[in-house]
Amino acid sequence: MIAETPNVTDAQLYLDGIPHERFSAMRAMPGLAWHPYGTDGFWAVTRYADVRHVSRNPDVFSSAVGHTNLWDLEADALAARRSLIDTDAPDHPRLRRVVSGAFTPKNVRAWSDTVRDITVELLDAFVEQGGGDWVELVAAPLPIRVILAMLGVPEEDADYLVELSNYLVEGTGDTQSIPPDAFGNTTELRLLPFNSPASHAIFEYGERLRAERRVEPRDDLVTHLVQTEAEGERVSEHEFRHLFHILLFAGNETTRTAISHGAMALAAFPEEWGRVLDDPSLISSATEEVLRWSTPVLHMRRTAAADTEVAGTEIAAGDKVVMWYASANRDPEAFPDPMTFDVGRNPRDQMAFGGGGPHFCLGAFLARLEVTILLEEMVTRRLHLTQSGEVVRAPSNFVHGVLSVDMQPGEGA
Amino acid sequence: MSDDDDLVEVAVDTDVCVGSGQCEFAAPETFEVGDDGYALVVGDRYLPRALALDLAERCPSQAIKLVD
Repeated sequence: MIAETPNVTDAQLYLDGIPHERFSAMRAMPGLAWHPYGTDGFWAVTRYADVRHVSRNPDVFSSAVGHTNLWDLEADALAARRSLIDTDAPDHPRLRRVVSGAFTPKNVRAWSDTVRDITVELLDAFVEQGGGDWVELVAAPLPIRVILAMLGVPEEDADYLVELSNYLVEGTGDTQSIPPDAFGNTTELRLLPFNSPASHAIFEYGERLRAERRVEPRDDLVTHLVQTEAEGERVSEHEFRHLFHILLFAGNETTRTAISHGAMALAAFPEEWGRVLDDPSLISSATEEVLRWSTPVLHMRRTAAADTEVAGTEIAAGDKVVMWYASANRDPEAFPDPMTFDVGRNPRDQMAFGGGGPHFCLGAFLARLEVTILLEEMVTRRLHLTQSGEVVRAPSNFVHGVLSVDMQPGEGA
Repeated sequence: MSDDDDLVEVAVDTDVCVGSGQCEFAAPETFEVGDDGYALVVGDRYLPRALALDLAERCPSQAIKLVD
């Protein structure tokens, strides 16, 4: 008898957290599980080894065919929305290299002082006011302020960009709180990333900044993109808009999630935080464990470009194949006792940055730096966190979002 | 002969390197990602075979090659 595939796409499920039992059941099924979705369905890849295989074979499992989200897009919408994420070679490496120099370990480390200054300011304010919503006070502002500084967005515009970026997340759920013509948008929503009119506003803002940096170059990422163009590496207007958009979105949404779930884990496993306080050399390992534990992006989709086979299951060209990082990061074959938060585990091959392959998270070292500096500053303050309210999660099967969670500061032994 | 004596040369295939930096993260004494977004061998390019295989395995885009 073949067990029925449990549903893992109902966004409402995620209000109670990742449905780990369902993923566990799918990992135990032979081959890949076929998961119905809309009028069609997809192959659910839930085991660590299988996610790794799909992720590392981009010639067979394409990012450019179909869409990298669960639902299909019409050809014109796919073209209009195409970014670094839904591109294959040869466009992908060319486009990635335009920005990858800014995200090398060395060049990311150069931002350490900025990250630390922002972290100190936010943590001190959090302690000063006796705690509150950790997302609003620490997890959200830290990464967005860092990415805005890197991009070169003036501080007076930061609130506007944060607002725009926050609307994008809604577009991955079921409802949007702004009308289609918000921000003067006249583009059909299906042609905009996340179906969101806020994407239009982000494009416009990016264009304006690019025009300014052409006239007056500075030491920031937008200037770098302008100069790269000048050096003959072609970055089209479309590509620039989408690079600006994706850097803003990824910089805002993902590390925020890691910092939110990280704080919840430290509060839920105080003895693990005690280990870090006793031995700060565990911070690097604890950073990787926070990333494994939080898995900010739950899945990415590929589309089979040819007939193939995974774990004994035959896959036809054109089939959707969805890699569930949320499951792979709790696969006991890769991480013994996976439901335990263990700061000494050092899971350097965790899949919060994806399963490998050319689309490996561009901002990985920035995310690591932000989490590491946050932990360092918490150790310096011997800051213990206590969760003092219910967590409110995002109703999304795509991002592991936390909307709010109250935390109280305390000093411990 | 111990395994450590079995040295192999490592090289970066820039056709597939995407500058993920995982090699530098695992072995900063051997690799560094340059400003052009490509990983470079900055240390001793001859490594014990087991270590070289492990690093090649970790590279997300399979850009670390063993030169035999």
